Amino acid sequence: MRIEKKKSAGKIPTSSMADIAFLLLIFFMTTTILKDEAGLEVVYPDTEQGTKTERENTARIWMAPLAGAKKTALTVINDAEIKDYEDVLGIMQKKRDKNPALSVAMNVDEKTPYKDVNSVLEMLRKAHTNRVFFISNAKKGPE
Amino acid sequence: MLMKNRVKRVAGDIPLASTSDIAFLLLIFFLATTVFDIESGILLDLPPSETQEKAAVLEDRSEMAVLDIVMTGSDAANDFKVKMITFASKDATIPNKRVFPIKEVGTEVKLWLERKPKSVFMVRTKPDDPYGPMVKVLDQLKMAGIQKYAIRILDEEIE
Repeated sequence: MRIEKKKSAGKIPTSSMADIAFLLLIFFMTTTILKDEAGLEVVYPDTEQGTKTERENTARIWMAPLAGAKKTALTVINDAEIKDYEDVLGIMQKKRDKNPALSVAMNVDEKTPYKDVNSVLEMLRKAHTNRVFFISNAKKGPE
Repeated sequence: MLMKNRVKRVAGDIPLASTSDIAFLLLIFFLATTVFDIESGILLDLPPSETQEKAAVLEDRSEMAVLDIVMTGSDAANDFKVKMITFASKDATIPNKRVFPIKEVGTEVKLWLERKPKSVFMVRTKPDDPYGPMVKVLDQLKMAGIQKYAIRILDEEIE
């Protein structure tokens, strides 16, 4: 005679679900960074590799091509349009005074004329913000 | 004598049954809106502003390779190639010019370095040409292990 074992129906304990949800919630709340500037719509150049930028010590400059006759590129810092490249010097000097370890992330559209990028780079040199990242779409993950 | 009807006060309780539901809703919101923005780019250390731009004086000009970014088609973003200008020896007067796609810059530079390990590199582009090909060339130089190079805007027409 076979003795049949009573099979108890398996139950998934759900009492700790709320705790898990709260833990995940706290994680996402502490790690979420809401974007503080809108920038410009840009298409980055594709590259094979890239170096990770440091979010805390990075100022952002956005550049996109313009079809206008006088200006060939639109430059934006802190969501404010830069009328003259000389203005970049003052803005960056102020930022560097606040944070001497400042790097600059150049969020530049790949079709922007190089002469405009070069003008901004000259101002960055004068402002002693010499560490510059050319933001790109890197195939290989950041170093 | 008037009798006061005493109303029994019920101790106020905050209903906690829906707390986990709220937590889940918030969790879903943060899960849906969080973007892990891992941003990367080509790192460039600009020379200090005090540094005067001096023309590179080389005893042996065969130790220098010039990489000119040249447009080869009509598509401003993609039809670019690199013209590598080198001199075979110290006394050579006619430069060697080779044109190849940007993605081959790394390989060509490595081959050149095997012959001339002390070579310096200069990347040149025209002022109105787009920034994209320049970044791609810098990326290739980094891939080839080149840390120092000069960048110049070329005012005259690239031959």
